[in-house]
Parts: sequence; structure tokens; C-alpha cells
Amino acid sequence: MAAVLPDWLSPQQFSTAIDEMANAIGKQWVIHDGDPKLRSYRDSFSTLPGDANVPSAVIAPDGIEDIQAILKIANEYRVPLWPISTGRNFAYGGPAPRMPGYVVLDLKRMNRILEVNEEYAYALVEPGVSYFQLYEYLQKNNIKLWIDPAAPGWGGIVGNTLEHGVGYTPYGDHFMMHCGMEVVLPDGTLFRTGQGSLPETESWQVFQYGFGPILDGVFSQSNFGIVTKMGMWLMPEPPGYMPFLITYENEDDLAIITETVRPLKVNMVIPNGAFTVDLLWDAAVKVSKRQYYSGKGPIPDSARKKIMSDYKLGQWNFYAALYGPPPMMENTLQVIRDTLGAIPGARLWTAEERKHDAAFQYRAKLMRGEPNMTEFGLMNWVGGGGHINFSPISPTTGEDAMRQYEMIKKRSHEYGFDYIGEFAVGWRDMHHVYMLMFDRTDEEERQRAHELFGLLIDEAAAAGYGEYRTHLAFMDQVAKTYSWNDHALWKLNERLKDAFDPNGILAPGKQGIWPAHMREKHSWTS
Amino acid sequence: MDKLISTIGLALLLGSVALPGTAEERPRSGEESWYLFCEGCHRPDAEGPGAVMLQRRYGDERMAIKGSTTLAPEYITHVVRNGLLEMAPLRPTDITDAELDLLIDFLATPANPVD
Repeated sequence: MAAVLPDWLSPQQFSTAIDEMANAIGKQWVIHDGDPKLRSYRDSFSTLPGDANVPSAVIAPDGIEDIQAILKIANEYRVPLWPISTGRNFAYGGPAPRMPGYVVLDLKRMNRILEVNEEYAYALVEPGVSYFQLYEYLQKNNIKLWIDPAAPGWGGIVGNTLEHGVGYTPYGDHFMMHCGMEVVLPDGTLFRTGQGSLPETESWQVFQYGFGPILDGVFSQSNFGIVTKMGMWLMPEPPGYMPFLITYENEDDLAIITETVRPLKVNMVIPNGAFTVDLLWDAAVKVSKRQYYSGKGPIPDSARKKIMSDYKLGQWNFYAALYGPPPMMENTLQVIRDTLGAIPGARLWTAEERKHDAAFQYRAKLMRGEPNMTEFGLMNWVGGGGHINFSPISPTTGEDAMRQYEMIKKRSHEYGFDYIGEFAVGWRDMHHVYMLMFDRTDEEERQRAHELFGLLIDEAAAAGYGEYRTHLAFMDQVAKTYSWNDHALWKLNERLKDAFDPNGILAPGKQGIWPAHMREKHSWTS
Repeated sequence: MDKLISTIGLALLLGSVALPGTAEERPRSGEESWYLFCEGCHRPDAEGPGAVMLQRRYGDERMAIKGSTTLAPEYITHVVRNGLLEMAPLRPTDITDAELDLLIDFLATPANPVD
């Protein structure tokens, strides 16, 4: 099957460019010409049709010089490149490019752990390093540092951080915990941020700010450069660890839970990412929907009650952990008992009491930085693999939590899907993640899920909620909602795009930022 | 308290460790690929969502793929390269063809009874 190509490239130009890239880095690391392995770069889980967003080619460099050689050729022929690190951004697009026909720049071969410093507690890594890989390295070398993995441990440290991913330990805001980047610009310029620009520095991974403007953020969720190295702060292993779960009986308990969590988080009584998880998110790791309900549409309340009783779960299930010397943890636990534990109907569970509970166990592992894949069990709820995440942000208030929950649940049920969600409180903000699960093998259901997602974006924006991250298919729509002062921010993003990448070769359309030569056709800002 | 102080002391002693980076040895062993890409979902217990799904569909005896005698190498190759429903495919930069052969050999060896 002939590859779909960007419409400004002739098959001859494309073929010449790919041949030149293959000559530059070795043809064994170039996949093209209808090779069936190209299909492994599609998004296996999205609301788009199966063959949407298949790249025209994949090229996998192994270092800065390879990347610079590829960029030179891409600039010459205007070949659009789509960089991925480990390509596990599932629910948001996975390894797939924004448009079919782009060339995926697969950085997975660049997976060196360049340095681990136990004294200052950091690692310096390349984009291809996965959470599993760094965890194994620390274990084998008996280094007493914790990583903070995303829920699926096969994801990458650099990619997740650049996408503003969150984790479960006290280091759960990944971008906040990064320190120092090395970046290649589309024209091949190589530079380092922060203290990394001082030739003799020992401070690149211990001080984030350097001298002058802090540019790191410009290279997150953007298409302005390729991050080739990144420092990540790691948490020293504490002398004690105490994960816990509190179950709540009623749906509207979400309001008081959230109101109670806010001061505990703002004052750092709860040190890690605090998650209020709905019943089905927790249950789906253990049971499938059809074990409780064989009809169509969302699972009825009677079945929900049965699941709660069978698995000793709440309508809401609050997970967090304490860290430190045992006497300190015991004191803090008493504060938790007197606050979150004092809500009527609350029951606090210890690790010992839930030692045979797979959902508790995987969260207990995540909160102590042990990567795993257990949360992928959510996909067994309906089967078929389809899932896409809707992730609006709000302040941590009971009113906002209930408003978002009711709004999304109502639409979700109206469209025939279960509400499956969780509220993550990092510090002051709340990430609400609604996982829209659907059967990808059912064409009508897939399209219905797609329609629902688009509706949720606009309704949330009208209520003042914006997404912190989204799937490829909805990047323009979400970008459009950040419209203050006539889309001034995205117009500035376009000016930056033109300055960093005048030929528009790097990830065109990423986060709704289109290069000049594609703007007329795609952009919504002008 | 003594134990706590000695723990902190030990941490300080070890604190000067700064390891240089290491390049991985390739091709990876089958066991290493299993750890990086398979075991998370296919550990044969309630925390392995792939294993749980196989158990639900085909029963206890087909739950574990490690040590399975019923999986043909061609079938494993097909599923790894193309994915299957909830399982996303692995890409050539995750696992090369040579490494996939090593992984298939590793899967065919009986699981450690201690597991």
C-alpha cells in the first residue's frame, strides 16, 4: 500500500529525502515503503479509525549527530518530522503523528542513563529511557532513590515529563521535578538550559533556573525543539512508608472529600499525589463489566452496589500515603483519621487489610515509585482496547469537583458510556481524569465516543475548565478554548513556531500550533 | 531511634555515589525484554491485566504465557508486531527481530516454580 504523503511532497521528493536520511544514519533504522512494521506506530486505542495517522516512514537516530543530519535533510525537502521518545502516550495518541504521512522520529534507541547521583538525588537520561529501565538500574546498583512512574511503567521519563504527566509519590508533578535540558532546534542548533550552559558546571541538575529567561517550558507540549537529555530529581528512599485507602459510601461525598483534601494538600500534610477514585476505576482492575451487567449502556446502580459490597469498595475511594520515620507517620495518620476519616461512612484501610487487593497493591507500588502495568486492567472493563482520556483542570473545591463530575457523568450516560474517573490533587490544582472506555471493534460505538469527547471539551470550556493535555484528534479544539484576548497566547505560539522552525518541519499541528506553510489550511487563529 | 540515626548515617556514607552512565548491551536477552515489555501485563496473577484477560477468556491453564507450550512462535511474532485488542504492538526500536527471537525462546522455557 502506498503511503499517504504530505500534500506538498511528491513521491519522488519524499523517496529522495528518505534515501538521504537512510544514508546518513543507516538504512536498518529507517522503515518505509509500506513495511508492515509502520503499523506499529499507529494509535491502537483511539476514537479515530484504525488506519488513521499512520506515518509514511519512521527514522530512528542514535545521537545528536544523527538528529542533526536528519533535520538538515528534512529542512531541505520540508519533510514533517514527529518526534516520539518511548511512544507510550496512550489515551492521547501513543506513537502516532498528528497527521498521516508525517515521518516519525523515534528516539527510543537513545536510552542511555547518563548519570545517577545519589548524593544530590537525580538522574540524567536520554528520551528513550523508560520507567522500568531506570527502576531496574537503581535496584541493580542498590541506589536508594525512588523514581516517580506514570501508571503504566513502560512509558518514558522524558516524554511523560514533557507532556506534563503526573505521578503518585511526593515528586508527582514531573515537570516541576525536572532539572536541566539539552535541546536540538530544528536548524540543528544544540544548547543546554539553566546551569548547563556554563561549560565547567557541576550544577546542571541541581539548579533549575540558570541565568536569563527560563526556556525549559517552551520545549514542553510544543513543537519548537527536540529534547535530547533531561535531568530528573529523584526522591531519597524514606525511612518509612504507609499507603492507605479510605472508602466512602455516597456519590455526593465527593464534595466534602475534596473540601477536606484541599487544606491537607496545600499545607503538605499529605505529601504525595492524592487521588479520589470512582468505584468503576478501582473495580475495573478486578472485574469486567459483563460479570455484573450484560445489557447496553452504563452499568445500573444496583450492579454498582453489588460491586461495592463484593469488593469492599466505596462510591469514592481515596488513596494517599505517608512517608518518614514511623512516629511522624503515626502522628500524621491521626490527623488523617480526624479529618478525612471523620466524614460519615468513611472507612480507613491499611496495606495489611488490602494485601490481596490488586487495585490497592498497584497504587501502593506507584506511591512508592515501583513501576507496574496493572492499571492497564481498566481496558478489560469493556474489552476491545478503546480508551481516551478527558482531563480538565480546576481549583480543589468540592463545588468544582461535583460540577465536573455531574456534567461529565450526565453526558457520558447520555451517550451510553460508563463514567470512569478520578480526581488527582497535586498541590493546589485538581486534575480530573475521565477515562472514556469503548469497544474499538464496534464502529458505531467508536464514533459515538468521538462525538462525546468533542462535546465535553466545549461544555467544560464554557464552564471555565480547560484540559491539561489531549489526544491528537482534539488538539486544535482544545487549543481554541484557550482564547483569552482573541487567542493571544496561540498567536504568540505561532510567532515562536515561525522563529524556531521557519520551514515548519517539526511536529506540525502539535498542540494546535501549525507552521506558516500549513496555517492557511489548518489554523483557526487567524 | 538508634536504628533511625544509623539509617541516616548509612545514607550519608553512601551519599557520595555518582555513577557514570552505562550503554545497554544489545541485543537484549529474552529475560530483559520480558521485564521491560511483557511482565507488567503478563505476570500470572491478579496484578497482570493481560494474564487476567487470558484467564477470563481461556481458563487458568492459559493464563500464563511464560512457559506456555501452546503458543506458536509465529503467533507470538504476529501479536507482538501487530498488537491484539488491549495489547499495543511493540515497535522495532523496542525489540529488534533478533531480540524477539530471544524473547520467544525465553517464553518457551518453563516458568520458575517459585514464581
